[in-house]
Amino acid sequence: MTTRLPLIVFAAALAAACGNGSSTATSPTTATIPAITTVTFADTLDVGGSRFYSFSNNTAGSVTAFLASVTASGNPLPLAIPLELGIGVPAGTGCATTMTQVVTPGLVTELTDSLAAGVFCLRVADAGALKAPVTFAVRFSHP
Amino acid sequence: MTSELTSRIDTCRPLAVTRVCGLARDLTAALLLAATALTVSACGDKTSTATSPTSTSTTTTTTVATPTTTEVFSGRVDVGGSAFYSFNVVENGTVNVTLAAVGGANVPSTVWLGLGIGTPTGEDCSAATTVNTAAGSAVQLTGTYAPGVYCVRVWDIGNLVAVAAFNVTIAHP
Repeated sequence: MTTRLPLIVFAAALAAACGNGSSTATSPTTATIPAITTVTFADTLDVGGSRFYSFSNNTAGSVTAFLASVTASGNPLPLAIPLELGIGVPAGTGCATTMTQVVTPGLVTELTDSLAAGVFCLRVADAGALKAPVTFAVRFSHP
Repeated sequence: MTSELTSRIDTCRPLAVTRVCGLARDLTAALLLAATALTVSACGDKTSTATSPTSTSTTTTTTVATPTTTEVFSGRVDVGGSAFYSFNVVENGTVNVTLAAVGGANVPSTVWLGLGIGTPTGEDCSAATTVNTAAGSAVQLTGTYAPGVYCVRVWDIGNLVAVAAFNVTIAHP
């Protein structure tokens, strides 16, 4: 009996240690959320003029933008002047827009577009309401 | 016989059955060892199964297209300023850029300017490849580019005393 007991214990220990690969705990899968970049594009805009800002989408995704403010040059008081916002592709010396929207300054999303990965541009232009140069600020986010 | 042996094993007494008892003990030990060996050999990790090595040879051939489109970028550079022009490369291929002409009042046609190829970024062109050059007929910047949007940038490198007008030709696929 004294001879068998250690062997039985040893065999039982081996059997208990005998693991099946499928029972191994696996690490949870973490979903990858594309990084979002937020940009403030601020500049001056002449009567009848336009400005554009180029950006690179690292992945496909949504681009959202709003006209945060319009002020007269040298005057911090906000103006409710509508401007045209557009999204497109840099081409030549400008931005060839594929989507445009005339918007008034506000802190809500006013322009949304789904874009592939690549280089794009956001354009701000006089929609016909400017009587003098203004300073504008546009906030937009892209992947 | 079996029941007798079992009985003897179970009652394993030290006198008359000493040899049988020892034999049974050895037999039991051997059985346990065999079972242990079987357990150990059966105790395998599925992932430890040997697999034959796989040999994969992949050869990727990238075609470099020659320029099929020529665009002319005519612009002006202020003193200390810059200008840029965006263009679209539709397939992997060669891009050739030539500063063809520079002129203007108080601007000698031999003046050197900065010339670069890059990516439109913000309100400018982020030039990754640059050269300082005078206008000429030979290609001054060339490279192979993947499909995408790129830009050519021209800027004053400190030589201008007046606004310069220029022509740049951009040949690309």
